[in-house]
Amino acid sequence: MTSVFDIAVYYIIKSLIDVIESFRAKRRVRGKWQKEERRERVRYVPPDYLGFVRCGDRVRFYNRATRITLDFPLVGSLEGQITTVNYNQPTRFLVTFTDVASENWYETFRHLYEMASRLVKRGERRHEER
Amino acid sequence: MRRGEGVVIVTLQYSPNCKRCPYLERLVRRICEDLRIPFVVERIGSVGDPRKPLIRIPFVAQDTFRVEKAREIDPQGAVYLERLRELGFNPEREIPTPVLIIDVHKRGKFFDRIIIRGFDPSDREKVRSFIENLGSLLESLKEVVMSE
Repeated sequence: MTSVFDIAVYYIIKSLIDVIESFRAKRRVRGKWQKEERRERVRYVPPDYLGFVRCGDRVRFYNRATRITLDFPLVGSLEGQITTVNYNQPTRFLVTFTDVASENWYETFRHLYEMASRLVKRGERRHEER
Repeated sequence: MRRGEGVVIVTLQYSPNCKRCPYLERLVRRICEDLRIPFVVERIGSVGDPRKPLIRIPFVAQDTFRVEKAREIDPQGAVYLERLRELGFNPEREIPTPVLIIDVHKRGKFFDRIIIRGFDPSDREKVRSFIENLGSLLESLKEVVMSE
């Protein structure tokens, strides 16, 4: 037989545990956000670029031939010599006259767009233009 | 360009030696004037501006008039290309025209590029459907860009 006292104790303990769990969850989420912010600060370097790039508060030297990346803090005297790169890789759709003139042009275009967006999410897209 | 604004730009890669180019130029110019979209005509090839870097062209002209590529598609065409080269004319340097490029700039960033190659004015129905599809595509792109 369960008494009123037992039920009250059960609910009190449950509420206490819930409060502790909520604090722990908040801390976990905050840590995840901090990690993402750290990742965004170092920007993506375009694959054809060789040399110094400014990434936030640091400088990155990138060499494609040797595959060496070197990060070091920004010094005031170097600021004029370093180029800032705001590189945004556009999605390219290469189609022909017959594709556009056909009846199911919009279906093919939608399919191409979905494929491109999927590749962007994965981060597998390559630099196509030479 | 400020953040939050967008624009659609249409460029036509054009050469005066090509007979199909002026016909397409007339049609596309009419669409762009109706929709108020900027339209640029870019001369390329031997007539083009030599000071301009050839960044855009190699991507479009990749493996078009190459003998190795022609053997896969049409072996007879490869024979002609070899004969032309023996005569002293190198077709690998030539660039196929017209090429229509649609650039979409969204939120102050270069977002999409749609490249349409080739044009066949002989078939009238195809040309009509091509113009209808292109016009509706440009209209929808403009709406999307201006709304954001």
